[in-house]
Amino acid sequence: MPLVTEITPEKIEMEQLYKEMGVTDKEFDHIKKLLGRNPNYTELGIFSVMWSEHCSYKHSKTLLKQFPTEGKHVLQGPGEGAGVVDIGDEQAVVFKIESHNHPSAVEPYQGAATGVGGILRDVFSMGAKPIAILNSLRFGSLQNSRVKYLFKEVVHGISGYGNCVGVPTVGGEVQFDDAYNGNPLVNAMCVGLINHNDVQQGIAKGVGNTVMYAGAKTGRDGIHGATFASEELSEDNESKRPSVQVGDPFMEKLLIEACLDVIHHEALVGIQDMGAAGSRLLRVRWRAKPEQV
Amino acid sequence: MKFAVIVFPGSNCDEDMYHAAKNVLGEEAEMVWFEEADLTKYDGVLLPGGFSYGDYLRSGAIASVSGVIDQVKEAIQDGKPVLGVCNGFQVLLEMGELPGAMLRNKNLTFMCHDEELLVRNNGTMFTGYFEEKETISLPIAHGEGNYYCDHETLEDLKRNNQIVFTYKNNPNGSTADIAGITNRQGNVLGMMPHPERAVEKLLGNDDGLRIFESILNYWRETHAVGN
Repeated sequence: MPLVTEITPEKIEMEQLYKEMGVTDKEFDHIKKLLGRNPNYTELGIFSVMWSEHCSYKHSKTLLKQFPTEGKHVLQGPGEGAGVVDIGDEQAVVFKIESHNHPSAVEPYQGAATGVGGILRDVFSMGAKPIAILNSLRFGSLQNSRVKYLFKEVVHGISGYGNCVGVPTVGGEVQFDDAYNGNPLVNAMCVGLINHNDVQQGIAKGVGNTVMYAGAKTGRDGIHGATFASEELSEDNESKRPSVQVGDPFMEKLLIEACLDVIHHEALVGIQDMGAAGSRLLRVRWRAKPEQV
Repeated sequence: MKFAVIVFPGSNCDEDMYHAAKNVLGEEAEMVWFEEADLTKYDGVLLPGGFSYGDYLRSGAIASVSGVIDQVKEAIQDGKPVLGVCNGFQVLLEMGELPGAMLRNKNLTFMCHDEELLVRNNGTMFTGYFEEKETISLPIAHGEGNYYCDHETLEDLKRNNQIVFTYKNNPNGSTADIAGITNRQGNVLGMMPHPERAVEKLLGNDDGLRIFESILNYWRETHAVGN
């Protein structure tokens, strides 16, 4: 008798367990069509994170596509962890902005803090030294006690993480409107500096190479964080608090130093940040760039 | 003069400190990884700000028992100038080289802005280039900078002229507005404000540079050829 019983594909469909992972009926049908059969529990997990808003921008892609992404000074457009723009003298700036709205709405300190942590990783995993953090925030009315609490803790989370990791928060902007009462917007941005020939890519090639996987300790926090981003926020927010990861800026500071060291090492083939969805997504991310594998 | 900037895991003002000593002051300086340090080679020791060991347990607590600390104590006994800024100050407190302890800021939030300071003692090796009672401005950036000591210790600090800097408008609740103190011998200075972040006019403020210049001047006077 097996020691662990995996939930069967039949049970997943019958009890609509995919909905718990943020996969809609329509998406589930599409998965079945693509596979030619029902997905098993693991496969469903992979689809749920890959097709989450967090990883695929399924809701916002049409809007994001309107941004210009090409130009004389653009060294790296969309496709890697962050964009790279030439600033002359063989140097470039690497920058990216990313939202952390859902996590910040339910667990404002950790949600905002890990938003900063995530955006930093996207920049230093390109090989750049993070030199500045910025933010763009939207909150509801400060007359509302919940909003007041969210505002205070989000600011606290951003400043606390930046201070500890040693990257200054140099600017930001904030607006208040009742429309954001139930759903604040928390966008963190990081700017890094890099020499042209140090720019790294998230590639994997060669056979028999060692994969080193580094990061903070895993815990019970942050599970299903990526799929959570696709869902509509509800009054049940409190129960989602464990979906938000608890930040460890000290570990990230060590990781920055280690990454900026390792990029000068010839043994390095590729380097990739793993945000939400972690290792499951890493393999898919690398496999998804076949020309480089 | 040759400075050692001690780098702990989690130090994050080490490069600023190095830049101030090496590029702005123009003296020799090296960033020294705490495990590999041989401090006998250096004339002064700089303990930078940051979050040594993530400030887990208590700020500066783990760094204060790390391998390099015996050497820092030797440097202090040898009378070398030792400057601890922010987390470096916290490490010196945890080492017991300076009296007192740090509490969370009175308002319980991280603060990051310029703060006006009064120079209370310009007779130290760190403050020779300041005027007595001069007002200067230095950046602060801390969540735990609320200096605390008991009444007896405070009287001691006053009697021995160990209070070097005080805040004009106490931002964090520190006892007697204290921003920086020396040890009794006067060769160890711990301060929460960041002089290494205020060393260039181009960046708006160079009040901090005079601390480094004062150290250098003192060193030159005491190490002059023929002395």
